[in-house]
Amino acid sequence: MSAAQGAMPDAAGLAARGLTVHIGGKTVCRDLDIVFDAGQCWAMLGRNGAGKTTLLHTLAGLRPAASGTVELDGRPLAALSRRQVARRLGLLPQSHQDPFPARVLETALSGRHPHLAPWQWEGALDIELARRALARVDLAGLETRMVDSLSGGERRRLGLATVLTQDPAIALLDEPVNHLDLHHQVALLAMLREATRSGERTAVMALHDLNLVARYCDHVLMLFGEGEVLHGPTERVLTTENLARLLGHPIGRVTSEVGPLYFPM
Amino acid sequence: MRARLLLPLLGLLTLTSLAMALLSGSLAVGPVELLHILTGGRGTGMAREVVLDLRLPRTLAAFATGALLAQAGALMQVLLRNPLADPYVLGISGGAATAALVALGVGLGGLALSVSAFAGALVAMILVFGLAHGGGTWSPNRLLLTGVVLAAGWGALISLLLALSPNASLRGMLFWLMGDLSGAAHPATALTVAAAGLVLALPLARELNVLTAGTLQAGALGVNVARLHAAIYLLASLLTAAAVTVAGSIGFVGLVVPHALRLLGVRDHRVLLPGAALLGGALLVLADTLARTVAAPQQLPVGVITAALGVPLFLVLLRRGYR
Repeated sequence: MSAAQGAMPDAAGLAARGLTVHIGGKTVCRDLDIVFDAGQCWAMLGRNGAGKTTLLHTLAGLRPAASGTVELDGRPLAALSRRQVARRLGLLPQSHQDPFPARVLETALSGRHPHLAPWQWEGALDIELARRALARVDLAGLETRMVDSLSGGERRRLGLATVLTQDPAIALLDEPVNHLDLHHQVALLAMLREATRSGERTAVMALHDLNLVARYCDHVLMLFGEGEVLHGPTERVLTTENLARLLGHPIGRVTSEVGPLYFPM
Repeated sequence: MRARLLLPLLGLLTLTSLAMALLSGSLAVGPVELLHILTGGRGTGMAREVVLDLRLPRTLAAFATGALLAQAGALMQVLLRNPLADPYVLGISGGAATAALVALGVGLGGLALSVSAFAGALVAMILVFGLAHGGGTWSPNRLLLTGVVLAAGWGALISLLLALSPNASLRGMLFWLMGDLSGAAHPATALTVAAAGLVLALPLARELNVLTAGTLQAGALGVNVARLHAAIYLLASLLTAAAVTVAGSIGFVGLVVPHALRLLGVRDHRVLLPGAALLGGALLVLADTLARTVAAPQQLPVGVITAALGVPLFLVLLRRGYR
């Protein structure tokens, strides 16, 4: 679908070059160089207030960086229009605002916005994509429900369905499993992991559940606060020493039949 | 889809309201005679004059004003992400009213009154925009608070002007404040502005749909939020300024018409904006017709009638809930 599948292998995807981000007098990261490659599923970890949301918004180009650039397919975000960005990159915000009445299907359908010309109406194909996205987050059958009648977890899955309808190559997800019951947490992360495994998509998620991170994410980005950042493959970075320092709490680890399990001591 | 049916229905309602307005009045004019007069055919001299020189301009001015206010209301509600917003919430009508009262106080009328009202609206609009923009960021809350506080300031100025004015000019001033279409003789400008507003707003309509979910979601879906905010603010303000210039501050239409449509199940701004223009126009035409006929020859303030029609209608819709 995308026109910008460049010849350079590391040109496609999302990258930060010398990125420094501040918020409220705090430094989230300093001179961060990182490449989120296609096919990778990233977890962003850190304490409350470490700057996960701020960094995600900066990577999405919705917030200016103090210095450095974010590159999408090898081009700085600032050189692209919001519409161009939104066709390649999606963001699931941490919370949703619904001051006006809306139906579930319409809300999911808004994900098609960047793909349509200003005068164009959503067609049968767009509606089909939205329906399929709703089915993928287990909301099939709720298409005509009013959004304000959904439960917190259902609303969250609708937000995810909007991103799936947008169908970006790079999805930045701010605590995607917030409010979800256990089954949907596992099912949706497995679905996202599967989507990245095809090799064309990237997911970057702020998460808190270490066991879900260990199970579904192949890369981890740790925000220690005050600008210190650590990132790399999950098996190298997700150690009890790093986690104890990151979270300010001793963390234990045992191996089980589903892989390593982490717990607070 | 229901929306496909709604616009033709609203078109029909508009035509009906226009016909009723042209047929009503102290001089009886029949439907056949009206058609003849409108198509340039025969007609008695008296009826011709009454319809073409009195009723038609006033009816079209009422339609344009209602269309302007309802569109401006729909835009303001999205801009401020607040269903309670109306075209006057940011004090644009307050600026217009202050300038208009000053004009009335020094004995101006007609075009001079319109010009000063429009100038007052522009001053209010620039003031709100400049002050709300001051800090760099431009959040709906900051805009709303700036506007509401300035509106309170204009309100105080209006009270002061009323208190200081001689009794002779008070009645005219009060009618202006309550909204009055009796002086509206040249509807062409207002109609043009209403149509231009719709033409300019419609290409933004799908972006408005996305913006109802908040700036972050809109930005993530490819909307240039800062540019869209500025465009809606300018558009809504100019529409309001045009409406206030024609007819003073007619309340209620701008707040309730967009919500009435939302309650009827219209949520897509590509349908909501033209629908609001038609429904707002038709509502104000009906209200103005009643205002000049119910207690004839006494003329009632049209704002009283819009509320009298709109309040029960809206409450019935609200009881039914969103469809």
